[in-house]
Formats: sequence, structure tokens, C-alpha cells
Amino acid sequence: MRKAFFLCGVIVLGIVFLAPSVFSQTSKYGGTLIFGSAGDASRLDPADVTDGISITRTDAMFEGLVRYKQGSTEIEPCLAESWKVGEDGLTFTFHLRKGVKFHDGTEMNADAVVYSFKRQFDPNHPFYQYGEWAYWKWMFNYVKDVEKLDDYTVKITLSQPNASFLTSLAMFTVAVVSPTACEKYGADFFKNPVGTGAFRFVEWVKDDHLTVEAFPDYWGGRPYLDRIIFRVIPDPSVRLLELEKGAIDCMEYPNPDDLERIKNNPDLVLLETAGINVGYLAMNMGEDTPGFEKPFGDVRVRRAINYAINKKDILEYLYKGTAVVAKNPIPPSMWGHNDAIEDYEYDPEKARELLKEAGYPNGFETTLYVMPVSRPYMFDPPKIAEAIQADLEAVGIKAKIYTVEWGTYLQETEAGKHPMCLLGWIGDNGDPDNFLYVLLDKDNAIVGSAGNVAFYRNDELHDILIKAQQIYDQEERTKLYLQAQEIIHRDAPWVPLAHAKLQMAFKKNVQGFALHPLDRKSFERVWIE
Amino acid sequence: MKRLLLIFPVLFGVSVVVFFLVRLAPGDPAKILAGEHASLEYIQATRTKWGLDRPLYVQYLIWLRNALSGDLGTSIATHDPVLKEILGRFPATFELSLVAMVIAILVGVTAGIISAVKQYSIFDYLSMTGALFGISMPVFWLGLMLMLIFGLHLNLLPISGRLSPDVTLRTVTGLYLLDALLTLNGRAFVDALAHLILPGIALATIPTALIARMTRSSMLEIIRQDFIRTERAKGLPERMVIYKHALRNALIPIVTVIGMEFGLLLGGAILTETVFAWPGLGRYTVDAVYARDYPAIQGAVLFIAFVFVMVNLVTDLLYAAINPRIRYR
Repeated sequence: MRKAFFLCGVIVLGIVFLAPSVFSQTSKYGGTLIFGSAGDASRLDPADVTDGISITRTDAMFEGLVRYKQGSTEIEPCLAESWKVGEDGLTFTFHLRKGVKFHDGTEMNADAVVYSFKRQFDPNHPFYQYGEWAYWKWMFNYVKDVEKLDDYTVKITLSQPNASFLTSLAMFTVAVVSPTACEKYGADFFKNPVGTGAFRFVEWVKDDHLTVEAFPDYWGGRPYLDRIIFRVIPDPSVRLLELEKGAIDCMEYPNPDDLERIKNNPDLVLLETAGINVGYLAMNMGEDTPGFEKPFGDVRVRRAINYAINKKDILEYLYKGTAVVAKNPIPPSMWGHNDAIEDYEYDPEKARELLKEAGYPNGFETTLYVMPVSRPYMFDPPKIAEAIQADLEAVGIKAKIYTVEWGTYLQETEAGKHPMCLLGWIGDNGDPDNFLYVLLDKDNAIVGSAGNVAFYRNDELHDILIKAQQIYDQEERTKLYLQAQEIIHRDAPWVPLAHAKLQMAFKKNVQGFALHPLDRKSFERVWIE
Repeated sequence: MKRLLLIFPVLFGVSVVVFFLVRLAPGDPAKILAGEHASLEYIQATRTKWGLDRPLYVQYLIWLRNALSGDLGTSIATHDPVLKEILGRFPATFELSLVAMVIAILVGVTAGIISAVKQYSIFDYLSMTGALFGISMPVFWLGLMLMLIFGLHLNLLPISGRLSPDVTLRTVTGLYLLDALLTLNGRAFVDALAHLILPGIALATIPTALIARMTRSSMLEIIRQDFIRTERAKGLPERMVIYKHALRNALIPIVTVIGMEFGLLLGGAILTETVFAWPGLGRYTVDAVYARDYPAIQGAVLFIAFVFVMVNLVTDLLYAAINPRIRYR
């Protein structure tokens, strides 16, 4: 009996003393998160922005019919609770969540969804004039109509089947906005954003900061943080100083040179994830383009170039460990990635042999187009170009480097003025179609507006990619994409170089944040210890 | 009055040059905004919407007509009226420039006078070497060092920005020190002042150095003149001789340098504003150039030119106040 009593005492004491340490591990309400941002938003209308910095802000305030699962490109219900795809693969019926409020107190319903979509593609819509709708024109031009069936049911009709439509609906651009606020603010809606997200807009001092606060009536329950302040600190070294000082709680885009310093700081945490992007070298195969040079029409030459470039060294010394080697056009973190493909290993001897076979025993002269600016998928392109130039020189190919201002660079490569060029891609929706069809299908090898800047036209690949667009079964689609990557590997229109990682640094007491491979940010589950 | 009218041809010239120069530079604003993901449809729609598909002279005439009625157009990147955007950024630049100029004048003039009076002394050598450093030091490096020492290690001052996130301030004029005074907000005043110190010092280095050197040489010239010897012979105290008689006569070139430097600073200090995350006009202009945001570039340059001309005008008027022999008709 005494023993039992003693045991009880120990247990009670144990609970009393251990409890705080256990409870401190659970999430806590309250606090302000100060987010060190590399730049300011351009606008705060999710449908009318194109840059990641603006999207980070709108993501805190807006939601769409579906959303990405945390850390993945798979989708889950959001403002739509469920949906049904019609037999023909052309009609989608969405059943909306009931009782969802916009930040202005009005109700989210079918009218709001129809309004949010139609304002982007119907020229007769009263709000159409206020935006440019770049992403709608880019990603949703196959949407024919959006109709209200009843207050909580919406039907979307496509003009052609599109297997990635549902994934695309998780994109920022199709967020649902408050029609009442749109009508009230008109052209100024982008400065007075009203959505259904976990945080609502408070103030925006341009080039300085943007503040949002917890939305108490959020359908998913009030978020943990009281508020988030996005502070603009353009210089990455200064952002890090602010983080070390403790004046901000997290920072985006750390300088690759500072990564070691962050890792060695016990008060900071570096989060990393594989990004959905690719940096590549394209060889121009389009005989109808002004930049076409004969050697690139020969697959042996293209393979030789693949063998000649030492990707591992480029990644180690120039990307400084902020990327993984690419062997396919799509990153390994994406479904459908063909891991069975064996990359062309660095082998200058083999490259020389292939060149000899192709009739260029002494190599040839050519030009390599290089963008002047760092892009998320390619850090310091001019230096990478110099490394490639040296590798090519070693097998006898003399490549001149040509560079021009970024906007013009895009125009010139789309017009096929280059024999070889460096370029890259950041995924829009996380679907393989958004890489393979956009970047390597013959439909997109149009001189003047090419996404396929290798001007690679293969009918076999085209059939596969079109077929994969029209079936909704992911398993079937995966098979097709695996096959597509084999064809691309065989024909070698590119030298795939790298998939850059996404990185963010946090103070140790910030919990619950997960990086998303598409760089979308969700603050709902974030809390401060 | 005549000098005021001269502003118009200057601004007109600036507007023509900038208008055609930005369009001669390669790059398409729509292309830059949408990057790799732009559809042809979007590019065309954007060009039409912003009138970029019209002949150049038509674009210029439309712009000129609007500008004359006070409308500098709408920014392509942010969809906000350019004039509003500029006026939103200018107070930040103005406040920082003012602080930097106060530091520069106090330190520069004092150092210059002492160096001149005690020519070839240790102080003279030190301050003139310091001035040389001040001119040649890259401002972003100096800025980072100041942050590292005073912001991080000594933890005395904030590193960047204009105001701490937890401090609220109702903006009236956009000049935070003044706003804090007007709204009787002591906490915001101290916080805003603390945020001004490091960027103020970084921005002041070059003007301080120039002012110190100019003060020294100008003073050296004056104190060797006959009338100064006369003053001394009269038995005037040295202090009076230097500050009342010598300095006043040496002021013209000093004021010229101050005016020029202040005018330059008001155009926005790009590096300082970037390093210190200062939401000013310099950063705005550079961002506009990168985005090929034509209306924003034109508006910003025109505004900067206007401010520069105005500062020069004030400097000229100051000459007359300092030296009664100069009179404008």
C-alpha cells in the first residue's frame, strides 16, 4: 500500500515537472513574424502578378478552389470541398465549402468564384479592364466557360481535355477574390486585397513593409500568428545581419556564400528543398531559325556536347552546392521523373570520338548565348558559361559567348537567333506537362515565340505528350512521361544542367513552416515558440 | 524670375533625352515582367494597352500633353500613378539627405577650418587623409561595416529600414522625424532618429570629404589676404577674424559644393538606399530601369532634374545673401 502510494506520488510529480516541457512542444497562439523579403510586391491581386515576391504576399491572403498539400505538388480540397470530372473530360463540377467568409465579411459562394475567373478572360466583364491577366493567358486559355449551377456549385468547361487542369487550379492566379471589394475599389483593388485566406490585409508601405493580421473568422480556424510583417531588405547580406541580430524571424534567398555561416549559427535553421525548376543548355536544331548551325542537326554532336561538359564541377564550384545535377528536363522531386535514365557522364574522350564520327575531328566554331542575370535556376550564368566554354574548348569546340539584356535575351532566344543558349524554367503547377510540352514539344517550337528554344521537333514525342494531356489517370500519364524522357535523352536536344534548391533561413524558435517545391508559402501552421 | 523661367527649357530637354534614350535601350517591359512564362498574346495585349505599339513621336506627344497637365503616367510594373509613387518615395530620400548634409556640413566645415588655420599640423594631415578615404570608400562596404559593428556586435543601432516594425507612426508629411513631432510621438521620434544615423553617416562620407577639402583650400586662400592681416592688426580676437570675416568670405565655393552635393543626394542614393533597405527615390528609379518601366523612368528622371535645378536656384540665391556684391536682376 505504501509502495503504491509512493508510486502514485512519483507519477504525479513526474506529470507536474514534465508537463511544461511537453506542452512547450505544442503550437502556441500569438506573436508577430517578421519576414525578410528580397523585394516588394508589385501588386496584391493574385491574378495579376507574375513574380514570386508578390505571390508570397497574396498567398497569405487568398485561396483557390484547391490547394497544394504541404510540401507537395499533390492537391487537396480548399474552397471546393469536392469535385467531379465529366465523362468527356471537358466539364468539372465543383461543390463549394459553405460558410466561408471573405475578409470584408461577405460570403464566398458560386457568384464569387464565377466573378474571380470571368474577370480574367471575359472582355465584357466590368473588372477585365483593370488587369493584364498574364498567367490566365499563359495557363488557362483552354478554359471555355465558368458557370454557377447553384449558390454552392460551379461548373467549369474546357475547350479541350487537359490533365493538369486540377493541379493548375492550385495556382495563385485562380484565387477567389471578393466581388464586393472588386466593385468597391475597382482599379485600386490590388492595393486593397480582400480574399478568404488565413490573414487579412492591414497596411502596405511601398518598398518598406506589408502587414497582414490573423483573420479571426477564417474557415480553417484562426492561424497561430497574430500578424506577419513582410519587410523589404534588398541586400542578402543585410538580411542575414538582421536575422543574426534578431530583428527579423526569417529570410528568403540567402546568398550561397553565406550558407555555411547560417548552418554554423546555433540560433538559426536553414531549410532546403528541391525546387521544381531546371537550368539547361539548349542546342538549336531548327533549320528554319536564323541561328541554326549545321553541326547541331547531328545527334552525335549534341551527345558529344553532353559528354564534354563537366556538370559536377559546375555544380560544386559555381552553384556552390545549392543545386542537384539534372539528367532529365523534369526534376527528381516531380512525379513522372525517369530515374532509370543514365546520364551522359563527363567523358571528353568519348566526346572527341563522337565529333570525329560526325565529321568534325577538329571541332568547330559556334556561339553560346548567355543571360546576363542570375535566375532562380541558374546562379551567375556568365561564370557558368565560361566553365562550359572551357569544357567545350577541351574537345575542340570554340564557343564565343554572347550576352544581352534580359528582356531582349528572351526575345532573341524565342526567335531562334542562337546556335546554343543557356536558359531555364520554373514550374508553374508542378505537372510534368508544364515542363515537357512547354519546353520540348514541336507545338512550342514556333520561331518568334518559342518555349522550345532547342527547336526540337519530334512527332513521336508529340503524340505521347498530347496523349498524356488528354487522360486523367496519373498512372497512365506517368508511363507516358517516362517514355517521353527516354526519347528526349536519346535525341539530346539539351544538356540538362541543374535543379536549384530552394532555401530559407529561420530563427530557431519559428516552427511549423515547410518549404514548398514551387516556392509557394503558407503561414497558417507557423507559430513562434 | 527670369531664372525660374529657365527651368522649363531644361526640363523639356531632359524629358526629350530620357524619353528616347529609354526606348533606345533594348528590352520590353512586358517581357521582363512575365519572364520565361509570357505568352505571345500577353505581350501583344500589354504593348497595345500601354500604347507601346504606336510611333515614338506620338507616344512622346501623348506623354508631353499629360505631363503638362501634371499627369506623369502610370507605372507599368505597379499600375500606380508615377507622380504618386515618386512623392511617396521622396520624403524618405529627402529626410536621409538632410541628415547626411547636416553631418557633412558640421564635420566637413569644422574639419576644413581647423585644417586651414593649423595648416601642416597633425590634425590637418589626419583630416585630409580621412577625407581622401571618405571619397574613395565604397559606400556599400562602409555601410555593411557600420551595420556589423554598431548594429550587430555593439547592438547600439538598428541595421536597416526607417522604423522598427513594432513602432507605429501616423504619417503626415512622410518625413518621419517631423511626423513624430507633429503627432507628439516620442518613441517614434527616437526610433526614426536611430534608424537615420548609420545610413546618414554612410551617405555623408563623400560630401563631408568634399566639403572639408573645399573649406580648407578656400579658407587658406582668404586668410592670406591683406584684409585679414588688417583685422588682426586691428587687434580683433582670432575667433572673430576666422569665423566672422574669413569664413564669410570663403563661403561661396563651400556653398556651391554643398548645393551640388545636396542636389545629387536628393536624386536618391542608389547604393545606400539598397544596402540600408531605405524606401527612397534612388531605389525606385533603378528598379524602374531594370523593369524597363518607361513612364516610371521618365517621371523619376524628370522629377530628379527638377529638384536639382531648384536646389541650384536656391544656392544661387544664397550667394547674394552671403555676398552683397552679388545681385541678381
